[in-house]
Amino acid sequence: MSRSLLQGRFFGSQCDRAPRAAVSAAVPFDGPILGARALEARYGSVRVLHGVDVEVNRGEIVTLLGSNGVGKTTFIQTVMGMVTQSGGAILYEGEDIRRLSPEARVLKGLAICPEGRRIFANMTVEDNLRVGAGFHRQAEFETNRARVYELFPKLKTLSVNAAGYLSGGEQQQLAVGRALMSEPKLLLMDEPSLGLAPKIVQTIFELIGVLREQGVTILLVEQNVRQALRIADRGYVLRNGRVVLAGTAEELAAEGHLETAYLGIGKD
Amino acid sequence: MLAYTFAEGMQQVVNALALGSVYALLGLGVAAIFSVLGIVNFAHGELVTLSGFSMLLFATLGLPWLLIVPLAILTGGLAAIAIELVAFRPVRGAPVETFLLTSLGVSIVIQNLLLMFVSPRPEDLHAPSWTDATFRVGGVVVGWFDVATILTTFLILILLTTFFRRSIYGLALRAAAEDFSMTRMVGLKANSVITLAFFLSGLLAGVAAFFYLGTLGQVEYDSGFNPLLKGFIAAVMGGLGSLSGAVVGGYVLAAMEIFFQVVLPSANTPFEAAIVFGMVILVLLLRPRGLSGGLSAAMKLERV
Repeated sequence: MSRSLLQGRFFGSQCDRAPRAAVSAAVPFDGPILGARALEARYGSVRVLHGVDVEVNRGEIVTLLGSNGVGKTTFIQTVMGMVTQSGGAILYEGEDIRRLSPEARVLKGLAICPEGRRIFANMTVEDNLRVGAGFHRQAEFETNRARVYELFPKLKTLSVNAAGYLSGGEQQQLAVGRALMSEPKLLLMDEPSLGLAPKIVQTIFELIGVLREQGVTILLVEQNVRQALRIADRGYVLRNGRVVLAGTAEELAAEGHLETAYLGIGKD
Repeated sequence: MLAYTFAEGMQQVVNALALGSVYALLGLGVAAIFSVLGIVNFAHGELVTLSGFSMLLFATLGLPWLLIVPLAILTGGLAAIAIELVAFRPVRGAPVETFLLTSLGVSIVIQNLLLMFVSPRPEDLHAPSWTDATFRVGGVVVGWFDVATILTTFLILILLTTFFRRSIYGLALRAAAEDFSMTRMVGLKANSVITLAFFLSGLLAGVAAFFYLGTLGQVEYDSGFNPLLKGFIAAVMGGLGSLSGAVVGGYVLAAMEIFFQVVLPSANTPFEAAIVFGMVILVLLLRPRGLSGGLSAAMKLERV
């Protein structure tokens, strides 16, 4: 296993990163939009993340790979503030956001498209989008809704339907659309392809490409390794709460034993 | 019971609708909190009591009833927010049992404060004279107060429905009722949503206080017990957490109460409550999720 990948370009770049906290409101921060440093998280006494370093630069699609239970969702939930971090730091635009509530993180520009979609099933498609705009983006609601409907014409035709009656693929579109309503700078996507038919999965990945062209930075958690690496710029492989492999998408894709050695796929 | 005439029957229908309206308002107040936090606020009855005493206070100050009623309703809403801030917010994130005990504690504390510092006796509310007035339609004697109760409740239900469908705050409450942590992850502040739920619940308690205590004509420190019980039963029968269910539950409960009052021989009226509660148990046995069968009553209190 080529551990050399760990010394790849962005791990090596840690030494020449600009000192943090030197951020003023006037000068836009031009470092990584998200930087997890030795991030630790636990549920009670069970430690799930053992010091994870992940970096996402503006405009990138970064993918977080790994099999079930390695801490991918915990990582996303910790960045979102739903799981309390027990160590390390999360830097968002250079600022330590440890003390911020999940709601405050959304105001800063984080948005999540969570595992299992978690759309509000009893509410209409349109109402899901309104809730997605939060209390703070209601003035921009019309504009952003138009943008989401342009992206997902199907949702427009279903706008007055209860979200619970939508197909899995449509619900996934709604979950993405809902997240976009808050005009996020960084979108966290947790297994958007889970439980969807292969044809639908294809459209979801195409959509992620479209989002990137629109300037949305994406951290993508996936088990669908090949698809994820095809679309991502860089990737990290998590195992037992640690980053065991990192590199550009091409480097990771070229890693012959990726699935068997790191992801626990096809072992038998 | 077969001796009842059509007119007498209609009179009981009006009675049941008026009583059911009060129960529906109480049930809605209980369900509003449960739907968002997954807890039953046992201090809900005290909101009714506090609204009642504020009516007494404003009436003593010589305010007209046109002002007293909205002020009393607002008192209910503000009292609910205060209770949430003082008692519930500090135990946010604790297990559900903690909330139940806290709400019971709040109820006991408020009752005893009222008992010690306000009045140990029932106090006459001096409700306006029109509340006793009646009119006749055919052979049916109808109280104006009953009509006001029924119409106001319908109006509130329409307003609430609009609020929950159109307002971002109403949508936020519905979203929180479905998936509280997801609601936070779209950026809707947990504190705002919870405060809003308590405010709404308190306003509903205030409206119910006017119609419930107005009928009784008096208020005392433990006036809130019966309203809490009826609101709780209405909410449980409707399927805890379902707002429309709580309304249905309120009317069904009132209909059962009036029905048994009418048909039971007078020697058996002491058993009326027991029979009604028996019916409630029967309803829940047949439909464990309540009449509406809506939201699951699963304990959904998340790490807020």
